[in-house]
Amino acid sequence: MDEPKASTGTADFSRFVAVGTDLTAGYTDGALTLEGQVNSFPAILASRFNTVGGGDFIQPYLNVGNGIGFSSQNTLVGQLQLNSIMNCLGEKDLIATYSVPNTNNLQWLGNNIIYNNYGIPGAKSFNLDSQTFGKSAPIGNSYYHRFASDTGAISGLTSTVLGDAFKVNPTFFSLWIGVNDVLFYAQSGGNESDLSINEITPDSVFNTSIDRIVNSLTSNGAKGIILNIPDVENIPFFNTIPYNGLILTKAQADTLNATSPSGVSFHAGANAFVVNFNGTVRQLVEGELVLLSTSLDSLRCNGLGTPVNPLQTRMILDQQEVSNIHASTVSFNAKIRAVALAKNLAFTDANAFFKTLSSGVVFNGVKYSTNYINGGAFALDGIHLNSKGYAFIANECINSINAQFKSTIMVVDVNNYSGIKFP
Amino acid sequence: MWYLLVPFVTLAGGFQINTQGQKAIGMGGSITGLAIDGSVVFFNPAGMSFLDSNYVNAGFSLIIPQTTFLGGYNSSEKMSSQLYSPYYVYGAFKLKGKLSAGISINNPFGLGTKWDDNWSGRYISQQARLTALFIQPSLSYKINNHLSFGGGPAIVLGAANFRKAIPYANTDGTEAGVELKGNATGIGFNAGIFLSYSKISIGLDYRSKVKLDLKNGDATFTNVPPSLISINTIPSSTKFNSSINLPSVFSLGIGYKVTDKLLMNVDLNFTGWSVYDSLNFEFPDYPALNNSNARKYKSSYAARIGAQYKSTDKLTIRLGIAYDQTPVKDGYVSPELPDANKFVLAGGLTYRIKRHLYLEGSVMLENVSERKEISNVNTNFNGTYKSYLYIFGLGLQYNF
Repeated sequence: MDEPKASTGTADFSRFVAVGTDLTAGYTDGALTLEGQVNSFPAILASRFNTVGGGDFIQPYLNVGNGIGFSSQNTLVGQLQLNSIMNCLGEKDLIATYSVPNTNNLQWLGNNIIYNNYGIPGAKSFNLDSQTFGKSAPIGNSYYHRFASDTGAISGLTSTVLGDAFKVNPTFFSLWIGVNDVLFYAQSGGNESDLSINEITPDSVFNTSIDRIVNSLTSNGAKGIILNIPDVENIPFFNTIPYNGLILTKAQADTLNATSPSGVSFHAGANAFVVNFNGTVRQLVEGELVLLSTSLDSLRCNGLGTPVNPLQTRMILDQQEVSNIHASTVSFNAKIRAVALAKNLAFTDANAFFKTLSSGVVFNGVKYSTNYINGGAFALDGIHLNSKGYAFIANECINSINAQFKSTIMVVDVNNYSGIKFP
Repeated sequence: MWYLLVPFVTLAGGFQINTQGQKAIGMGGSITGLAIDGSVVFFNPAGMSFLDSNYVNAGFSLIIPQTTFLGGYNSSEKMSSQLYSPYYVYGAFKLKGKLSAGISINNPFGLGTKWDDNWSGRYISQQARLTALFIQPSLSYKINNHLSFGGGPAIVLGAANFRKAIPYANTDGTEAGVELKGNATGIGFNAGIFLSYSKISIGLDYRSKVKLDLKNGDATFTNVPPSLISINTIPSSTKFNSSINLPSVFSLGIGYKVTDKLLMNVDLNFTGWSVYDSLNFEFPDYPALNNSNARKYKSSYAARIGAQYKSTDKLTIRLGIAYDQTPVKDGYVSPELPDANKFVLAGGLTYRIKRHLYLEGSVMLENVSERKEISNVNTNFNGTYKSYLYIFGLGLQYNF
């Protein structure tokens, strides 16, 4: 049997740069770690580009260890690890808990290396050409600050992500941006604390940012691939706890009904959780989403989600918020598709892929899905991917690239990348 | 000019093994229309009535499979080198009057595949082994000089062993695995008719399907993350039940005595593989682990042509060829048995050591067509398989 020959087609993979967010950096299990970087989706792509003339793929590596991430309370944490614990019902359970972060990782790496991976955790579309983004937090971004070529020491303005990426003089690029432009809003339960960082990026800002980024990356004739944004429904952080996850016995339902406010009633079986919606206590309706950051033990044992202890609006996405997220996702994805067509870029429909994954994908005998933990592809934070998930994305990209540029690059064996580790 | 006759001989598809006698192998498995040694008890018990003396035959084969797999992800992967050795013992004896009796002990079904533990199909199969020992006592009754019928029950003792990886990783990255091991029993029968007229002989034989019941097998899980055992997702060991249907085989053979020295035979086999619809495992104590794997085999044909030529008083040589249709449909090609249509080329000889005692040998090459699986229904494990089987056999014959 003859092994197929890899060929470049009409693209040139010799100098590859990746631009994007957490998902490009290799962020996984609630933190950026060295292992996550090594298996970032562009690093997996680069390993295949090596078969068709691709060059080195240099990443701003962290030290070995637990890496560094930010919890939902914005405190520094190390990567999540699964622990076998006893839950409040006295059952053995698996829970992800943060490990100790390695804060040495935040030091500036100097400016004598040109990197190939400019995936910046937390980046939104309009951050990529921001001249303050390289400052230290909270003005700038801690992850870009680590390896920005200029942190603003001299002029006060910093290098930009795009400017640094362009130093690679890329012949090929990947761009996956826009996820955080809606995700921050979704993750915060609809920006209940009114922080500007959690606002959904207005369409006009997103559109001009994408145009500027793509024009810049293609200005020397580089070809590339662009990915779109997944719907929140297919992300475990938003779909693991069902809106009607309040399971009651007849007796429990009767007890609650005796004191329930009007419009709220319970029956034996599955009931919609109760939320305190700006002073009005009501039950969730289908299509509203409970965030995975909500305490499972409180839901199970402390009456959270009942009239006694209603959910708070920051723990859920109500119908209006879900609709806001949808509208922006649809709009951003339309823009991304249009830019891909206009610039003859390869296009990966990541949104469609996650939708397919949500109903299960069998790969070499292993069934993957978007389920939290047992789906096998998402990280323990329920938002990012693990290395197997990133390998899936790399394969989607390779297929798109092969289709667009008539190259014959082999996809990778997803099963050979690390996934969930059980204690 | 006998070699022009050498023809399409076949080895059976699926997990059928066609090494049931050195003469049969040497003629590509084409022997149902002939009564020339003790193997007739297995190929067509009615043929015992037309043997020219009592026969005892015993022997074995070495099967060396070589399979290469090329998936879409890696460079090609080779099956681990291995050796299988099915054997046979036959005795066929004239009783008083028109009755003959015989016994057949052999391994007409089995499979063995072994891949590297870390290969790309490890979650489907690392090792698969199935053996089936058939014990078949038989009688044959000669109605007249042209017609006989015969048959007997077949007692089947099977053993199965499957091993694969499970996609649960420990904190050190090592993965869990499972081994299923068990013994099975089953019962069937073999019945045939033999006709002989002038230079022509015809055999019709039906070997029934056999349901092998595997009860109380041992499932051993290895290297399972302790947390998964503690939340009762996976046990460290448990019992399992399964069953495997071995297919019926209907054969028609026509033998022709071209000259005193040259004998030819054409065989057609119809194997009822459609009984192998799915492979199911049931775990009575862990029903969540129960699984059903569609196999959806289709019944298949094989055509075989062989010839033997008595070149000297002491030496008889044989040649045969066969074409054997695979029972495995597209969508169900799996690495524990990467089957495809086969072309078979075989040769053999019998050498008289002394009066009544003969040494027999055979060589067979099975060229299994390149098989490309595009979309496996069960596993989505896709790629191209190419196999060769090299088979060397040795046996002894005593007739009196």
